[in-house]
Amino acid sequence: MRKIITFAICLAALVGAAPAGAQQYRVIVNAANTTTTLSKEDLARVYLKKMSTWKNGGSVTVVDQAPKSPVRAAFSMAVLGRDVPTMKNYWQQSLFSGRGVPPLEQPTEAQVVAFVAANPGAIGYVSSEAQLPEGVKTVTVTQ
Amino acid sequence: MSSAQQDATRRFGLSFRQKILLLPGLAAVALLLTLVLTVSLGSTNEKRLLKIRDGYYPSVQVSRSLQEDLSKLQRQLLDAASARDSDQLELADSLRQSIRTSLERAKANPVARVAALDSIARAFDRYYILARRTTYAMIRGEMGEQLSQAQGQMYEQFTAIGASLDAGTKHDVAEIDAAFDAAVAQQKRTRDTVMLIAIGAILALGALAWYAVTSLTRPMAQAVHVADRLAEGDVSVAIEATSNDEIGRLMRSLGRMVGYLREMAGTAGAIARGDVSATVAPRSTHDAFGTAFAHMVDSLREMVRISERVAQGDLDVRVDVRGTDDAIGRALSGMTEYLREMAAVATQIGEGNVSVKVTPRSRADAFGRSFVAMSQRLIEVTTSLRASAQAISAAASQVAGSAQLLSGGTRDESAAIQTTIAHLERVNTLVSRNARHGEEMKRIAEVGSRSIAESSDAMRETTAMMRDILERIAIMDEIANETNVLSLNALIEAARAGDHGRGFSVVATEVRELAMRSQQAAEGIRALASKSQRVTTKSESLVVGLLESNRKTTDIVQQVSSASIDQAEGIATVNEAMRQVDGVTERNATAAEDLAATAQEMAAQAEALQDLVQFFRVGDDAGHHGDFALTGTDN
Repeated sequence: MRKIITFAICLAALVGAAPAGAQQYRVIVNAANTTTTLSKEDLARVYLKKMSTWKNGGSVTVVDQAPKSPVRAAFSMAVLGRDVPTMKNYWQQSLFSGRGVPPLEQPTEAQVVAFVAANPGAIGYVSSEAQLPEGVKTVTVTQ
Repeated sequence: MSSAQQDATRRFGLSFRQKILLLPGLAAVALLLTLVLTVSLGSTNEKRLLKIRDGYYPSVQVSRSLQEDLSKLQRQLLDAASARDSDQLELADSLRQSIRTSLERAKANPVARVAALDSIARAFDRYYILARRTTYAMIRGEMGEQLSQAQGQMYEQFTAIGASLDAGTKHDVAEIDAAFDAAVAQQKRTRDTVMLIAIGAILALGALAWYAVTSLTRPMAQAVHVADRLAEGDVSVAIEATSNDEIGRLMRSLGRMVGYLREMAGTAGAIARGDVSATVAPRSTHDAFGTAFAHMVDSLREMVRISERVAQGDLDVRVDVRGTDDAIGRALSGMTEYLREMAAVATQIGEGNVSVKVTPRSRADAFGRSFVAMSQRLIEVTTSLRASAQAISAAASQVAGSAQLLSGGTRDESAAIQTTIAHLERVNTLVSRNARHGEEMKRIAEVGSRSIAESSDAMRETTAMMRDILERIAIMDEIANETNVLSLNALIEAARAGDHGRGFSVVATEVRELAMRSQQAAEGIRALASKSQRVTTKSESLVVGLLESNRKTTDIVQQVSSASIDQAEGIATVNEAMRQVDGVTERNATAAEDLAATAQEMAAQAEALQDLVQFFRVGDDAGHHGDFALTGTDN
């Protein structure tokens, strides 16, 4: 038990140190969206589908990257605090117990961007080096 | 009890049996009502509970098992997806089959909503096909909008099915709750109603019991009071019957009884006061009291009738002695018999048998003793009466003799008186003649007076002489007068002397004759004197004197005359007296004769009395001899 606690503390220290270096993802929304900043907490609530409307109105459509993409792994760890398989389990359980529907998964980053650009209430994330076309905008994630 | 209650009681007119029967009757009604209510409400509840047991409860169970099966199916799908093992989908298929079977079975439930179940079955089929395909896609690692849409649909459909099942369960639970609530409410209502009925029944029973007991005890107490009063002989007790029940009837019967007794007491009181006019009508053929009373009154009336007849002296009245116990009859019979015997005794005495023997019945037998005394007294009286009658007879004979003697004497006396009266009448004739003579003398004197007046002168002359003559004449007159008076007296004495004075009367008459003669002589002298007066006419004084003396003479003559008249009257009076004496003597004679007749009559009466007295036979007499030995008739 003590070992587990010790491991958890170490892990937390490691994770906390990582964003300080470089953010490995960027959160994007439709350009029409007036939201400019989101706290990480709100972001997590949006991706756990616990917040389904924007503050200015309109429903939220969440888009995930492919399960195997590194951005998703980074995003999952950074925002949701859990790795992808865990989240996959979470959503599968949610789906088959009727608690909720998993977020839409797009196979590629380009498809994520295209979807966000096409849907006004969509929110997605991309790698930091991805090219962002017109129609989408980055939202600053605050702590 | 108020009067409104008495009215209500009277109006209801419940008999006491009805009142008593009302209690269990009411209790039975209450019990029956409770039973019916309990059973009917219980069966309703039973139906409800059976519906729960056989309908809603299995329905809920089926829903639960369906939900569980659905969860199993989901888990199976999840397991398949997690394990990425498409073979496990076949397990899910078998589960799906079991769910479909469960749904089919659920339709057999009596409360099943078949349409809903069918809709659920259709939704489930649709869902399963979608879920299986989606799971398979997930196993294969597919992604994208299509999958996401399928997942969304899957979610919605699953949620819808769950909601349908939940709704069904909720409906069933609600039905169960409603049924339970209804059952509880029903139970409560039943309990309340039963309680209400019970309380109402208890109150009603209590009131009824109180009413019944009161309506029994109160009149009972009154009845006991009345009976006590009756037992004490008080028939004035007032009875009020307030109800129509048995007690009321008892009270009315008591009232009638009291009225009957009161009437009987009134009749008895009237009889006790001697009034037997009361009529007693027996109330029924069984009215022993009334019949006895009526008989008693009849009997008393008969006694009174007999007594009245006896009081009126009718001893022929017949008294029927009804039996050895009929004391009054025997007493009356004895009385009439006694009176009859007494009457017989009286009749015997009336028939003259005074020596009838009467023996008093008792020391108090006043009548008998009086009869004895009367008989004894009558014997004594009769005996002495006989002696007296004989004595009276003898005395009467003596009186008759004496009366005859007296009658004879009186007749002799009467003859003597007659003779006296004849003598007196003769004397009267003489005296009357004397009086006439006096009258005549008076006339003559008047003639003389006239002569004197004519010869007054001569008279005057011969005054002296005349005075002498006149004096002498006066003397002569006086003598004549006296003689006359004496003769009268002698006559009276002679009259008084009766027979013996007869001779003397003759003498007296002779003396009177002499007196008359003396007067005649005086007349002669006076003639002489008148002759002398003629001589003395010249002397008026003499004449006057002569006139005077003549007048005096006249007066005297008149006096003599009137005396003679008086004498005549006196003799008439004497004569009258003598006649009266004669009448008296006559009457005496008649009376003496009457006396003699009466004495004879008395003697005859005394004889008759003796005969009458002979009627009463005393003991020594021969003939009928009654013997009444009135001994007591005690049986």
